[in-house]
Amino acid sequence: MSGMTDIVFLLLLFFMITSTMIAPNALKLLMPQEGQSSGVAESVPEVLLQGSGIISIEGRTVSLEELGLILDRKLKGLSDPTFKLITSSDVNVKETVNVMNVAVKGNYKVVLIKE
Amino acid sequence: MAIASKNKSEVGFSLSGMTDIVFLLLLFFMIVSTLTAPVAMNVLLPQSSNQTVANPLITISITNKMEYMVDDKTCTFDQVEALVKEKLGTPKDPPTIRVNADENVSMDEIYKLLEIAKKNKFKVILGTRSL
Repeated sequence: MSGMTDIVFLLLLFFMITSTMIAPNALKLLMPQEGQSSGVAESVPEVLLQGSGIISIEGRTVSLEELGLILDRKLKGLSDPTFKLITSSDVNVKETVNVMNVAVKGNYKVVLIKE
Repeated sequence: MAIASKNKSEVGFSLSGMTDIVFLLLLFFMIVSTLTAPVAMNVLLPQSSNQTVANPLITISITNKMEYMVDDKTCTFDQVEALVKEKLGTPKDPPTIRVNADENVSMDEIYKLLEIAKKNKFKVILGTRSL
C-alpha cells in the first residue's frame, strides 16, 4: 500500500505543478503611455502591410522569409531594434500576426501604425 | 493472569484512507487540467509560437462575423468598454486583457479595442494558437 501511495502522491504533485505552469500562446502588446508620443525615430525601417498579406519594405514587395533576412541585416547590433508596421485598413489579424512572429523571432519591437 | 484483556487495539497504521483522498485529488486535477481550454465561440486564432506568462483577467473575443464577447457574454462593440470596466471594478495594478480575435478579423477592429485599452491603461495580449 505505501508504495502505491508514493506513486499516487508523485502523480498528484506533478499534475498540480504542471497545471499552474501552462503559459498560454499569446503576443504581448506594449501600450503607449498617456501623453507620450510613440517616440520612434524617423530612421527605423518601415514595413508596409496591405490586403491579402502583401508585405513591402522600401518599396519592394518581399516574402516573410525575405523580410526576416532584411530586418536582420538592418537591425543587427542595434541596442533597441525596432521597426514600424504600417497596416492598411483591409489587413486582417492573421497577416499582422505573421509579421509580428518575425519580430518575436528576432527580438525586435514593433510599432503598429494604422495607415 | 486470567483476566488479560482480549481486545487489544491495533497499533499498525493504515494508509488506505489517505490513498483514497489522494486518488480523488489526483483525478480532480487530471480532469480540471483538461477543462482549461476555453470552449466558447468559433474563433480561429492566428498562429504564433510565442508564449506569454501574463495572466489575463478578462478575455475579449471577436469572431469573423464581428460578434464581440467579453468572457462568455455576447455584446456589441459599444458595450465592450462598459462591460470590461464593470467586470474589473477598480483594480490596483493595470489589468491585463486577452484579445482573442479570429484571424480574419480586420486590424481596424483591433485598433479600436487598443484605443479603449490605451484610454483605460489596460495591458493587452493578443491570443494566438501554437504553430
